[in-house]
Amino acid sequence: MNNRTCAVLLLAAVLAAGCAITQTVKPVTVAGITDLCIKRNSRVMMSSFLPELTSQIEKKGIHTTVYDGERPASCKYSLDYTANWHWDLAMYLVFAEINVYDSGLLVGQATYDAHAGGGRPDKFGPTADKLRGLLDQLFARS
Amino acid sequence: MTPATYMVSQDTKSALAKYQGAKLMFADLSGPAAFDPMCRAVGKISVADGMTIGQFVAKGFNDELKFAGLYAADRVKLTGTVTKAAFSSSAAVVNGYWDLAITLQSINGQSMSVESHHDFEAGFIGASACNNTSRALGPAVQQLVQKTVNDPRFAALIR
Repeated sequence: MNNRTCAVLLLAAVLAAGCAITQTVKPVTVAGITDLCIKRNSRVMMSSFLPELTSQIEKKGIHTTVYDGERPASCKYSLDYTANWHWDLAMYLVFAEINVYDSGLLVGQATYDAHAGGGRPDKFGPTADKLRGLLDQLFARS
Repeated sequence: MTPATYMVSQDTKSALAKYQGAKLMFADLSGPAAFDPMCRAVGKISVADGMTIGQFVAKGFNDELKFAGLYAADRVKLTGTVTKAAFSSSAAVVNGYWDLAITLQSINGQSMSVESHHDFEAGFIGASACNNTSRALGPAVQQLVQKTVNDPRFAALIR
């Protein structure tokens, strides 16, 4: 392999790696979740995020209850989340993380990270669609 | 930096099932003596709730014990040391790894040492690669815990 080929391959690798949107999902490992308590995150500025999250989970047949502060003792299964958006001519979801717990132990996690995806057009699009992709995988086994 | 979190494993729960009846917990592990938490020029690797690596490894063991129903807070049966914690966020340009090693001691006098190597996809851009490296500590500790409880010597520690 000559130097020019090496340079082209390296540039291609750099460009590909530099335009990545990563979605990492570790599906919930416990089955039979029927009730889920969701901890409200007041630092998530998009007010429609929590209603969308609860709505999509409810559509999976899981009853949700939103709480603030400490997890109520009656909540065996709980969920917390965070989400951030960036502006690039339009708002787009740049990071989201959803954690599911069984009695306080982390049993499932979904992460969407577009921090390195600045050059990709698919960074745009409804947050609801991106959330659906995460939740479908997160609750695939439960 | 996105902090590392520990997720319990069904495989580890299954591996611990044969110890039903045992009740134990891990005290925080000491060490490592040398650990550089700086990732490139981006910042320090971060662990949830500001835990040290030793506290995070102990949490991993204790979470698995709780998940398997073997945890008892009033028992301190195992102590230990993290003898190695090292990472790369740029192996083969876009990959990374965590190397972890521990030595565990039981109050019954038995001890064992375990090493674990965990590879992951880091990415090219610094901030993203270091976030992924920080997050990968969770799966790395999960792998270490699983390797430990699957080791035949582990049974001798909890007798």
